[in-house]
Amino acid sequence: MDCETIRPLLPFLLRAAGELDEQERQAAEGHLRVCPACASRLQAESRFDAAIQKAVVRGDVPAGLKDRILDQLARSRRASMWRWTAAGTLAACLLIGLGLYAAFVWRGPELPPVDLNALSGSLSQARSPDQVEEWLDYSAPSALGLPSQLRDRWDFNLLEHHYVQYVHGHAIPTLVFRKDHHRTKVYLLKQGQYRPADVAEVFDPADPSRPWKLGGDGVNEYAAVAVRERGDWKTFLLAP
Amino acid sequence: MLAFSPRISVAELVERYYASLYRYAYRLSGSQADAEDLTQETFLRATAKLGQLRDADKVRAWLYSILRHAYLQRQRSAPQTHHVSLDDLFDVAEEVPDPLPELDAEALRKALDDLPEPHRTAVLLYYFEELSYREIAEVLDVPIGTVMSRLARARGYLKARLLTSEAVASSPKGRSADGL
Repeated sequence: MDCETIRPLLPFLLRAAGELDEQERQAAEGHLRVCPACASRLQAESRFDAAIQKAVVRGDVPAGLKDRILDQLARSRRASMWRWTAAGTLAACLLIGLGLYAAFVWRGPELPPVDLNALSGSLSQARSPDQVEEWLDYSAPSALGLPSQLRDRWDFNLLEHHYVQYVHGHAIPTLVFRKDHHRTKVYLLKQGQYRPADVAEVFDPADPSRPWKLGGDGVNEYAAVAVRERGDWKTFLLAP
Repeated sequence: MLAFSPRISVAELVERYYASLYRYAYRLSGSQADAEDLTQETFLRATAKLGQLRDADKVRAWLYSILRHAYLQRQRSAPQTHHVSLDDLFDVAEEVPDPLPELDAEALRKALDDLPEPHRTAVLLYYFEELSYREIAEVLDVPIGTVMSRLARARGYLKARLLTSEAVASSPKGRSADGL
């Protein structure tokens, strides 16, 4: 190794290990032993490095810096605790809200829709109370799962009209009975499709003193809902 | 108080390292205000990451790396300032007096401030963090040849700036306002 070759390597020799591989280090050290000029240069580099290193790590530290750092860390910790407390409170409120919702509002999973549209066609074609009765006897049981004796509950002489009402996008067969000044509206619903509990007034139009909501024939179940009104029809929401 | 680790608390970290971190920050930024901000930011980040510290023996290097990242992050978002060109200084060969008097702290600060940021960071990684060339290359994610080049140019520049009769202080100026 000559002087030209060793010059760029001198900085790598300033530290004990890690900069040069063993072969290069041995070659460089061999040259330094026989070349006073390069050895002197290395010593000069080393003196300069030591001076820089000493100067660079030296310096004034502002008075009170440690206390300011500790204060800031304490403030940050308090702020962090506040954030966690606020987040915890918010989470607790959400949980309580969800609990209340589950307890008082949400009654169960959303029920699958029932295709009542197909049913509406046949009821719409019924032109007389007899045809409605027939529909209730032959079409509704299979399509809606209504019991065949359902018609026995009502006096079809009181049937004023029938139609299909759309509720929540479903075609709901609807019968309207009238006795004196009272009108009774009957929605024919498959049990489980809507929650009758949401309906305030439910009664048997054939016997207004005996309200009912649910029925069944042992095999099929139904929910029939009627709303009695004077004058204008009262609407209500059927919760799906 | 402020205990986040079973082995070391943040208060202990502050006690042991705040002065050296401040000095490092001062060398990097060249400003007392920035150095103080960086030091505080370092401890805030360290507090959040203390759980990640696996080797308590490397806490000093860990804190330095946090500070360095914070500094480089600021550098990237800050407008670039003018620095000297080192192109002509590669082959400057200053004679190094023997013995070499203590270097003037203010002259060193100004010289470091004038260095382009990549060179200043390399110099401080070498002299302050005492990393090897290879380690510097890994930290800066540059080839080792780039590290050699940056350090050689920076060293030549510092020699030119500091090895003058005006820059070599006749007596140390170190005063420690905090008893350090």
